[in-house]
Amino acid sequence: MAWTVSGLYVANWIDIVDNTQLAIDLTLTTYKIALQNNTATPNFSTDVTWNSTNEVSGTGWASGGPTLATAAAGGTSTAPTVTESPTGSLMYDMADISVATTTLTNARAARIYADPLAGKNLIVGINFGADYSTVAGTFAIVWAATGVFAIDLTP
Amino acid sequence: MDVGTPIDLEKMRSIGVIGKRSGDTVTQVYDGIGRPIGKDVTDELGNTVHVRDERQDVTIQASTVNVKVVQ
Repeated sequence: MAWTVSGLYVANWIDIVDNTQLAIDLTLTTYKIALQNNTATPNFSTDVTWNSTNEVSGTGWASGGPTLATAAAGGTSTAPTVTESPTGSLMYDMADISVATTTLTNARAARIYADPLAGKNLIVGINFGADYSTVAGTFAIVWAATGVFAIDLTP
Repeated sequence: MDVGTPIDLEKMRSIGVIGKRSGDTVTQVYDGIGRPIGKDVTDELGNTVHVRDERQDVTIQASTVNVKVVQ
């Protein structure tokens, strides 16, 4: 089993736009970012809920992951935004993740999810491409200038 | 010398025990007076493991998850 791609969690995105009206607000800083190892195999069609199976956590990075309110450098907010960028595309972006003094083993991927919701609904999964570990150090994710994810609505 | 299976090598590499694999860029890091304090190992994905004496940091360069509306 393994992470091979990044992606959005389809079932939740359907529930956002259909009559389920899943209450997702991507600007919330109460959402969390959690890590997984490569034993996990995401199914972007059927995975809905965050859980701790195959989670990577440790000193400085608790189970469930930090909130986006505290995951930027110095424990500050990543201040997530949803904007049009470039023209015709929806971009979800935030400040880089930088959590100091962590000890984590074999993190392979990150998942952002709506922790305040009862369903802890998964939003996006980001595959790192390889396993990474920290020892009493900073775990950082530098987002591309084009955002965490972008949806081209005018292809 | 038997260094183990590929999985063992990957584990050793992920904690900075072995410094270089094909495709990695290793940069020695020095302090202000030229003493070596560690190394930065950047892999082919562009992700960097910063190895120091008592700590190890990681910097992931995340690619944008690009989604296209299917026509």
